[in-house]
Amino acid sequence: MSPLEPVAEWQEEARALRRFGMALARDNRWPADERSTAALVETLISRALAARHVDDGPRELGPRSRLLALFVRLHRRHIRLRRIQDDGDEAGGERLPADRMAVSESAVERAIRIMPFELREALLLVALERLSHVEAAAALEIPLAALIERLERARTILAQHMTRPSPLRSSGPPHLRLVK
Amino acid sequence: MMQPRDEAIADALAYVDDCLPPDRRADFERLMADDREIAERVSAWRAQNTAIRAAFADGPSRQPRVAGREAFPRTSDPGRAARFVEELRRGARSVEQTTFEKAPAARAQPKYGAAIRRRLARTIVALLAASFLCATSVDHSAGDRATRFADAAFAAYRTYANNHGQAVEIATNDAAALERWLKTQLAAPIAVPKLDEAGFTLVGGRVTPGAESPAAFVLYQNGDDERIGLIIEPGESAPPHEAFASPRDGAAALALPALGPATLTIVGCVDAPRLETLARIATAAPDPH
Repeated sequence: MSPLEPVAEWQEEARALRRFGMALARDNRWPADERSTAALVETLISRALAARHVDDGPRELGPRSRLLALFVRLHRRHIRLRRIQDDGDEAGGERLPADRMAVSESAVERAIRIMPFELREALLLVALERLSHVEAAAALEIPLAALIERLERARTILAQHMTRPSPLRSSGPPHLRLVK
Repeated sequence: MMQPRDEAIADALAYVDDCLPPDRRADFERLMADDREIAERVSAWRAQNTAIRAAFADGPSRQPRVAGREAFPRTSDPGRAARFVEELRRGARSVEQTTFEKAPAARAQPKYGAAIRRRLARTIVALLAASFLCATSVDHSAGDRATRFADAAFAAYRTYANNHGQAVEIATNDAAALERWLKTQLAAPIAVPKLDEAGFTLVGGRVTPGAESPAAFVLYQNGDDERIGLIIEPGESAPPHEAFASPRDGAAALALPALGPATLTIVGCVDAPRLETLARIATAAPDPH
């Protein structure tokens, strides 16, 4: 993003990207806290806003969808680079243990945090940002059939979590032992 | 070729997401009336859409409470991330690229300081505007890339260095402990230099937006209460090596390669020789903690 751009021009777009970005970037593989995730999202927002002037992102998309596509592309690059740097380390390995998960998050948030990125991208573009299937497929640079398949998989995972009790509460009520 | 069942699923997804063409909506609604399984699936997917929109409506100001032990005690402030973002965004972020020797002396005030700074800022803005309009590819140039590192460093320094309430997320003078926390937050190894040789001791650190990826902001202070910030941004790209001066607050910044695959930007209200000394110490091989 150019520092010369008037604030009013990009503030609304940044707000929309922030909502999408925070939903996309929260991931239980990285135990980063909320503010660190916000720092990642802000960096990617700045780069996406700057890239729309020079980048050859999907031309067939409108300005808002194209911005989301650029954000997804930058986020994918960030994930790819981090995995290379931390090959075999904890950052690319196990999911966050249940006792480190946010206890206040809903089943929907939890399901989205743990689903694979490719499914999360598809679901959030369509369900949260209300892109059409054609727009979402173009933004993700995949065929329409692949998008449909990802959406169905994502919704299946989501359905499983929405009907399953929280892992933090799955142990049920505490067992009481009678004492004399 | 799609099987009839796959086609029904595709239509159901398109129906739920409001992208089924109008002429096929009526057909699909008739199918739903006859197929209870499809109807239930559509109903569940609609509930998912509602739940997703409700869950993420608030954006980054939400602060989930995290179960389990924290490595460090932290103050909990749900809106801090959002306020930090707004503070960064509101700040004027123009920077002046300069030669290393021309970085201003610490707190040196010119005779007509305010007027000169205003004129200088206007000139810089005009030059930047002209260059931006003339060459949109400037974003990829090495010079502009270096400017972005300085820009991020000035913004973080302005926001945090003298914010005595919330200057750092983790207050510690233990570099190794801070490195462990930063590695978890950034998913990349971070080497926190010691600047004791220059009289600066570690105050703590936090994560801040960087030029190309999230970065560590590490704060140091000396006996005269002067504060120096180090922005350490992990990344594989070749780091820039340039000095900058901020016309707004007299701060200077120097971006240079850090130890490991990272860019280190030193920022503070110090003169060029001290910036150079700090850079030499910060990029020297670390002592074993």
